[in-house]
Amino acid sequence: MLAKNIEGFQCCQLRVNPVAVGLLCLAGLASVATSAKRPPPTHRPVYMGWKEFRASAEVQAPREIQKRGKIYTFGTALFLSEPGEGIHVIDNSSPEAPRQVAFLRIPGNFDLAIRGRYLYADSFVDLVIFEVSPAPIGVRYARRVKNVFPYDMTGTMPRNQRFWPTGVDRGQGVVLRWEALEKKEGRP
Amino acid sequence: MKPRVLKWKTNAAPRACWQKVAPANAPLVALANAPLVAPANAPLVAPANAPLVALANAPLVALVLLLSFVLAACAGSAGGGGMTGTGGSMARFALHGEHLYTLGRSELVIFDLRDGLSPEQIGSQRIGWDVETLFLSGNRLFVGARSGMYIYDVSVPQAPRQLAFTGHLYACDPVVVRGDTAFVTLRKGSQCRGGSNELRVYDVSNPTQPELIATYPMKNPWGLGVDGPWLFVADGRAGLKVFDSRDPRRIVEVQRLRRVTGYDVIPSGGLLIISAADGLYQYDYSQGRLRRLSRIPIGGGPGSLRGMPVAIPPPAPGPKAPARTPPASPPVKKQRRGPLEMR
Repeated sequence: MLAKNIEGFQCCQLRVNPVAVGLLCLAGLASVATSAKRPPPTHRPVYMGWKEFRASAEVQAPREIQKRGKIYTFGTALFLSEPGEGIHVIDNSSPEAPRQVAFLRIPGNFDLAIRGRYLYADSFVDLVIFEVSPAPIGVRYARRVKNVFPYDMTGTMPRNQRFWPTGVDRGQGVVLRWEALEKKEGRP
Repeated sequence: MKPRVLKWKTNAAPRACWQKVAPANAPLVALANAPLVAPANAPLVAPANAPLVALANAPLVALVLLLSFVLAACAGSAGGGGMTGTGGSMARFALHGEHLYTLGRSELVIFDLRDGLSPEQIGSQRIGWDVETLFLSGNRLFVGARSGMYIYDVSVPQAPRQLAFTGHLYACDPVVVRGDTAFVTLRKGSQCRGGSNELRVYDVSNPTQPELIATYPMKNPWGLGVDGPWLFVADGRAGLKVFDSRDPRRIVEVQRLRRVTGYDVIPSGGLLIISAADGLYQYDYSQGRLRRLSRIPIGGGPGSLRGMPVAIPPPAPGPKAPARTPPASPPVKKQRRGPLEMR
């Protein structure tokens, strides 16, 4: 408020249309102020729309493991999370010859826990539930509980590089990943 | 701090099951040729399978048998379908009876799982912005944060009560607990500025006043796990280290797997499972030495380092789900495998 007043006063000294110039000055000042605070954005969010997201959890055929994650055992079944992607289900009834039996696709997943017949996994803002049986291993999608976790994008943020995101519009969905912007592109 | 490896041993319910099968202090003598014979009075639950191992020539078979036996017993005895799984020390989910604790960016969200299909959120609690892992031991909830270790009392499940906070230098640190002893690894890294790389041992017999009883230098430790006398620490590129931790004030390294850059580990009943940068490894330690059982490659790298058995069938040729999941399969631009991140 104070800044605004001062700004307006300075503009008036110029003896031009005070309102128009005042606005201009304000805008200029604002952009200078923000750009001084933070550099141009380096990344923009890539969304998964809400509708698609809510239909995204499913049991798929086993696939190659791309990245190591957390492990979880349940009887002779072994679960390995692939951060952000889902969970590999492994039949470990003989640890000398574990066998991948399925992949649970769960975007935004990092953790799981199993109690009784149910496997609970986080998926961005939702908690997804699969029904499991340990031996023989069986997995089936059961349901999701919506909006139990805070909207959080930190899990997908790139590490070990400069990261100044553009704004995030929650209406568009969950943030699946971040796309690097060209140097110039960043400037609005 | 990020706790968590021995869930079914430390959880109240599973422990009950376990004890039913292996009453009290099962004689640990059976580990005959094992270099690590726990003292008879050791309160360590671990080698409950020891007797079996000794009997059977095929320790693995025994192990599997025992495991299924225990699990069956647990499943049978637990009301309300309480059989639970076991997570590693990096976990942010922890089960406590019929309650599920989940650690978000900065808060604990608690669910009641009595109706398995309709978990009910019964509470949430802010902890700190830098919390990382959960480990439950009885009614004690250990929360690992970058700034220290929190200990909560969860005897009222929906309202955890903070008992203590032990601050330390800024670092990442999972926690595992065995009885009254908490093992914490602190790791420096890009996300865990400052701090130091070390293993810390706390006496938590008085949970309101954890006492640091020992510190051991490490290289770059990630997950850890404890089972009976054995403590396993995934110490980054230094490899996976096995310690004899019977005397927490003087733990001794007994073996090291130099090629295994571990992330999360679960040791349980003689079977060590390691999630590492290049594979999912399994080792048998029921004889006191690590013996590799299998490895599933991770990251599509060369199938083996030195001709170890690759025991996994080729990934199903099935569709890599391109059609079904257009935006879901981000370009597999390999994230730089720098410091492994926590979440």
